[in-house]
Amino acid sequence: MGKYFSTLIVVISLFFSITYGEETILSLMKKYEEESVLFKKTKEESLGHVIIFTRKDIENMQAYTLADILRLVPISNFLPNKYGVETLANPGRPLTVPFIYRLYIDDHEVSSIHTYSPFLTYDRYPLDHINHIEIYFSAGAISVSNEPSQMIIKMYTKLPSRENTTKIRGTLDSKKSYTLSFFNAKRLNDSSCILVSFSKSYFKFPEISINNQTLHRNQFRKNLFLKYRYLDTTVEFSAVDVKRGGFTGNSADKSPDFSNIYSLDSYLSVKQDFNDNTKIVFSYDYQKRKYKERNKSSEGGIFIPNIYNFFNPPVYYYEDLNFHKFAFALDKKIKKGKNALLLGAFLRYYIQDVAKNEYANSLGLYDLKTAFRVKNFYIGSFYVENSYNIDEKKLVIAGLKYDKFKFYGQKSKDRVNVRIGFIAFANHSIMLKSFLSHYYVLPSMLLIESSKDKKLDSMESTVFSSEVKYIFGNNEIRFFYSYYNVQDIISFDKNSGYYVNTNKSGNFHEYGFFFKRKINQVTSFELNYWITDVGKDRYSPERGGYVRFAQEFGKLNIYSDVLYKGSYKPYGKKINETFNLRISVGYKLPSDFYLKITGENLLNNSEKIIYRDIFGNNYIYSSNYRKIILTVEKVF
Amino acid sequence: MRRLLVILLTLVYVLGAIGQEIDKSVIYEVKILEKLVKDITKKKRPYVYFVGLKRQKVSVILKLSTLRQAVNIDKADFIFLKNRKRKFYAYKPTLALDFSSLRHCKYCIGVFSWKNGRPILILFQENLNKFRIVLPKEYDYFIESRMINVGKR
Repeated sequence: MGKYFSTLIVVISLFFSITYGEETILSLMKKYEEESVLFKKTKEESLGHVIIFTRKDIENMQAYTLADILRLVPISNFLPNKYGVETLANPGRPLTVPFIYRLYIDDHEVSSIHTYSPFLTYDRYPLDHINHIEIYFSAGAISVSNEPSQMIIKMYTKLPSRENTTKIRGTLDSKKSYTLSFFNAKRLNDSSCILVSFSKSYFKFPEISINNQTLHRNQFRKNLFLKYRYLDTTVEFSAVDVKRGGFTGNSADKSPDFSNIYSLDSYLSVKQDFNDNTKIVFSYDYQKRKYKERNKSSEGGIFIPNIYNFFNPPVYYYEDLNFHKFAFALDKKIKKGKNALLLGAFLRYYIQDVAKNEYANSLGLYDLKTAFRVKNFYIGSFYVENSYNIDEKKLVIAGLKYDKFKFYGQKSKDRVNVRIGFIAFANHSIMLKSFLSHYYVLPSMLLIESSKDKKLDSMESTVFSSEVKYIFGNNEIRFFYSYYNVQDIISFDKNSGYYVNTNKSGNFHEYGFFFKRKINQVTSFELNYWITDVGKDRYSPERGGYVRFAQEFGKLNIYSDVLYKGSYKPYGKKINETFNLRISVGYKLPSDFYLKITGENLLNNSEKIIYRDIFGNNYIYSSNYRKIILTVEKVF
Repeated sequence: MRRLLVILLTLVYVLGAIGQEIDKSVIYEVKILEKLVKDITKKKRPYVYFVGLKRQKVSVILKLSTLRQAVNIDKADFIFLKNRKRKFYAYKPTLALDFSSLRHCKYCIGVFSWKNGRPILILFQENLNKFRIVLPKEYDYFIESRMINVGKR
């Protein structure tokens, strides 16, 4: 009887603690804040393995641009390519214009229409209006409204109804980079809210001296973002305007006399959510690219595929291109019992229009306006993904995506992408998540234009990825593994000077280790180490990692990270391992003023890369300055 | 005894299941409002009156709490105010649920809303005194002077 009585007491206390447990107002407020975080609503487990930079992370890190986040993406390198654009690249891969990454702002994909790479315009995108960032290792993800890719980066904007503030920020660093930004977001009434964000920046980067010429990749940028929501309809408008130095450009000696890139990305999107888990998005994008370069013929001129002649090379090149994208996407979730079915479709139509394209060599000026361009491209896609809960602890995901597409000058083609996934909880503390995908990565318009026969096949990829997560106390350990097999790799053929399908296949393995510890409510620590089997004799580091630490002391917060990249040996030249130390300190002053100071690359040992000219000369470049960044913020 | 255990466990499970259906953040939001009203009125099941709130929101608050809806403002122990665009004279303890309502309510005891991405609760000492409200110590963190806060937010 005594036993029963004590059991009853325990059960009753449990019952009351769940239903009527007396909690203090402070603890309720904290729980309310924790449960309200936006990423809990936006995160999609079925997309792949996800890393989230929460709003708190972004604030603690004093991350003002997307680059401040992307530098930490595991199993990737983030370094400037030959145009000076900070670009993600797979370990070991050269820093090119990649076509395997997709970037989203809310439900709108902003990757380049011409190249698929989002980085030309968005590498230093300001984060003033961004709430959190989700990075998906989503090789072959099915439930997305974009062409198949390897990684999806999703930036989610702040909810105006949760802001009700105006913020002004001024940032200045010891190398004279600056940013001025204005942000206002508020709830207008129960049905509508508005967000406005505008900023103007100048970023100065280390220069490189080649052939007695100093090359720079500094950029001026202006950003405007507007969001208006009325009931379940959201309208967004964005315009980003970037002017930058073209760095080593396409000059044969990697040292142009002049090079400059201008890019403008703008879009208008309208999203309608319906009560029955249905979503429709219409959007129109306009993108503009201008590129100008000059280089003497005695220095090898400018390398332009299809045109380059070593004995009479181009000495001047100019292009002014306009791109339009019309897109429509629809998806619907149907939940019934243990089953969740996602049905979706999207249609996209891309148009390219050449305003001006010309080059000059020693004999004269030539118009390239009639040269081959992918004038248009369409892709229609239908996808279906089913998630089935075998029991409370096991979930199986199976998806299929049918793509039909047509590049200008080619016949239409279709491809089927498939993916299966498995998520299981062994108990409360161990989780396993695995995906097997088979998909086709389409070439970009730019790659097709730079190919010999003006056509390229898609790359067939098979990827297996898996992670095991173990949570004990306030600690979390995560192991990640992935295996890639890519057929018919598209790469640059040095002999012909064109991009080709190489008929070669590539295999590589990636391993990642993550350890997270939340020491208490205000202190956290994180460690990451990753390694691949691509070897050291490649074009970018094949291993890396970081250590991050954050702590709050009342009105003061401190953040620090050390980013490690392993040594590697491109072109037979050894580049030592690097350690990039960043320390940020923020203090809340009276009257809602904030003072923030960040030291970047404090050990003066940041990531390095080699550029090689066509004559075989190598130039080592250190990608970041050692600098101090000062920020003053006022919240109204 | 076993039957009792089964009944209790079932009840816990059912309540847990209900909780899962509704967004957890909404549950905590309502818990905060409920606790505040009870601590202010010192009543177990106080009557509340809603001014400017959507019917859907009102029904969620009533469904997830033990608060009761007053038939008119005179019968209410407490008032929730939202979407107010003109002056509101609070002659009973009133909590604004947005900043624009607060600007139109001189004697509101405080505001519970969102600012800068975080939920915020501010209670005004002067107006608590006006209604002779004495709150437990746990509320000290949220009590400020209205002179500092109002108007700007």
